Amino acid sequence: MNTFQRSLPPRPFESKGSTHAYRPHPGLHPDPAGVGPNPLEPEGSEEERLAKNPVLAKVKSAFAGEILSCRDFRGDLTVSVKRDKIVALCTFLRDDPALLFDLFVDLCGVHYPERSGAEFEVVFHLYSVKLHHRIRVKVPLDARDAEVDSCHEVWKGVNWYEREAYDLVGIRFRNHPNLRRLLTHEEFVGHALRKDYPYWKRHKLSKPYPVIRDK
Amino acid sequence: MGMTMGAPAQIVPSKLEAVINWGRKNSLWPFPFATACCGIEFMSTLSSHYDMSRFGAEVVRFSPRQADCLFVAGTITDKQAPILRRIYDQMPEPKYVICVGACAASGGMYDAYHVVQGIDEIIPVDVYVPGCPPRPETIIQALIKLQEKIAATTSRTR
Repeated sequence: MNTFQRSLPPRPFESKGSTHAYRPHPGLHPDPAGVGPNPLEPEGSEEERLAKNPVLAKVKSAFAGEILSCRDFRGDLTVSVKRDKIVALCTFLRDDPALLFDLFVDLCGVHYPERSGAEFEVVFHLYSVKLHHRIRVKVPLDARDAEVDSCHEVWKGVNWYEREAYDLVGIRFRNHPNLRRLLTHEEFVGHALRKDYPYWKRHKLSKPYPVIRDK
Repeated sequence: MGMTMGAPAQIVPSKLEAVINWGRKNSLWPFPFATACCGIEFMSTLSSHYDMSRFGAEVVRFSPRQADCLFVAGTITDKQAPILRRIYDQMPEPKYVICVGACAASGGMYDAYHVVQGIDEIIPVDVYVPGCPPRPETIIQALIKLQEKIAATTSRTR
């Protein structure tokens, strides 16, 4: 401790008898014991948490044979579903009064080249503003037929996210109203976020294209 | 009146070229093509604290047809490259380009599938400004360098 620090008055949590409630961040504290339960590590094993998750119970009762797998990572629920059922599941998640996932947070495409038969995955992140719970829905896809039904009619915001996933990962969305590239330009060849795409490979654009135009 | 009556004739011999260059270098009309944080530094260069008007280059025009000094400040993506080229083509001669910051000069940290690795792929550049982003002093120095370059221009070197 240098002289400058010593000249400062004691901070509230250092002074004895202070009622100031100071709780260090559990990740930074050398001794997490004594600072209360770690919010990053919920109680119980993963199986126990899944068994008593009301959202999962509801989803499982409606889509019994369609759920491929489910996980609970630090209290966040993830459900993998067969690709034929994604629109039905999303509509159910949005409309069921016990679920009410009214806020579509994110959709992204992921490339797992090492996973034979499920090289691609579409991931939805959903949140319920009314009931304050979250779910992550995954749809694994085969690289030979990387196509899935579009969910743009369930949440309007899905439209551009699906265009982004198509642009960068190359997943096609059936029945999408306007499946064009969103971020890269019209003369771009390939899908830039695939793992086998050389990150430096560029495609020069020959002329400016209008931003707004008919389909 | 009495002062000028007795004074000798005030004649400064010069070349027409030098007079034209003197006028050009002290009255640059910048066009800001700002796409990233370098644009913020450029705004700060223009405003009162750094005050680029001391060098005669404060009247920013947002039409390329009314400007003669293009400031490219920020990352230029492949999608934007034809737009930048068209703006450069629309500027009347004589025209100058100052390339502000690492991204415009070399792509900066974006060695990637979507970023132009230096705007000299598309348009000729007069002065490069290093920095990420460059400080306003650096941008002013680039302007002074450009003025020196204009002053040294002859009809042969143009």
